[in-house]
Amino acid sequence: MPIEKNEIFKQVQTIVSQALKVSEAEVKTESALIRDLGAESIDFLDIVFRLEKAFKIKIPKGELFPEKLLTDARFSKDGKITAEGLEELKKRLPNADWKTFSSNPIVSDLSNLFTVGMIVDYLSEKLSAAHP
Amino acid sequence: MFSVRVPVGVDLVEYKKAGAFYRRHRLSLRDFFHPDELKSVRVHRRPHEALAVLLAAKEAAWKALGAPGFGPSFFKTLRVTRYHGALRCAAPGSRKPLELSVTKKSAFVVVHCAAPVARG
Repeated sequence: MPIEKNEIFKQVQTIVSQALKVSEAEVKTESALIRDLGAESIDFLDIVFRLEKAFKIKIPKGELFPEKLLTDARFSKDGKITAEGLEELKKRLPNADWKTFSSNPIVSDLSNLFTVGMIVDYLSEKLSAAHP
Repeated sequence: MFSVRVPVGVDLVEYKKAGAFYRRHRLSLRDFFHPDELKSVRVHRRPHEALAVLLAAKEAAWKALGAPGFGPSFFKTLRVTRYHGALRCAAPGSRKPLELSVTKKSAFVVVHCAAPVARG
């Protein structure tokens, strides 16, 4: 039976709070992992491993955080995401808030799209696919 | 007139944080690191310090390559090696390994990476 989205959020909230040493109250759906919660790369790895254990799933490299796309010259130029890059990222991160980002797609702002809600949406879809 | 553009990447990793991470996840690291890198961590007298250097090295190289510092999947695409005692990082698309300089303090390590990319 698929887990309710609210239940997924609660588990993600606990995991992110423990990984980043912040209170659970600070971990909201709209919280950006880097900007609002102070995550670093080591924390992203930590969160991925904790999610895999908690939800008993395998998260393939680059699936949850597809940052590798940014090394592709087609997808970013002069510090901005290209139109082609935006399309590709939208495919990979359908649940991110693209409205604000698309108006000024600066590469350095991309991390603001990585929110707690995006993780919850990703897990919700992944778990639904595993347990339809 | 020649000019060289040299993007620089810097990263800092605390040993305490790397230690907690290593104790919790050491069996999962093979998904994100090359076997030789993991071996160099395992055989080190203080594995968590070696891991902190490795993490900071990859993050610094990643930043120097012009990508923003987030997400872990690039960790396996960059390979950190030691050459005559100095750390270097091989990156896809880079003809020469990136040179890294390491500063170790009592509680953390800082790695700097400079990546000359263009001459014109």
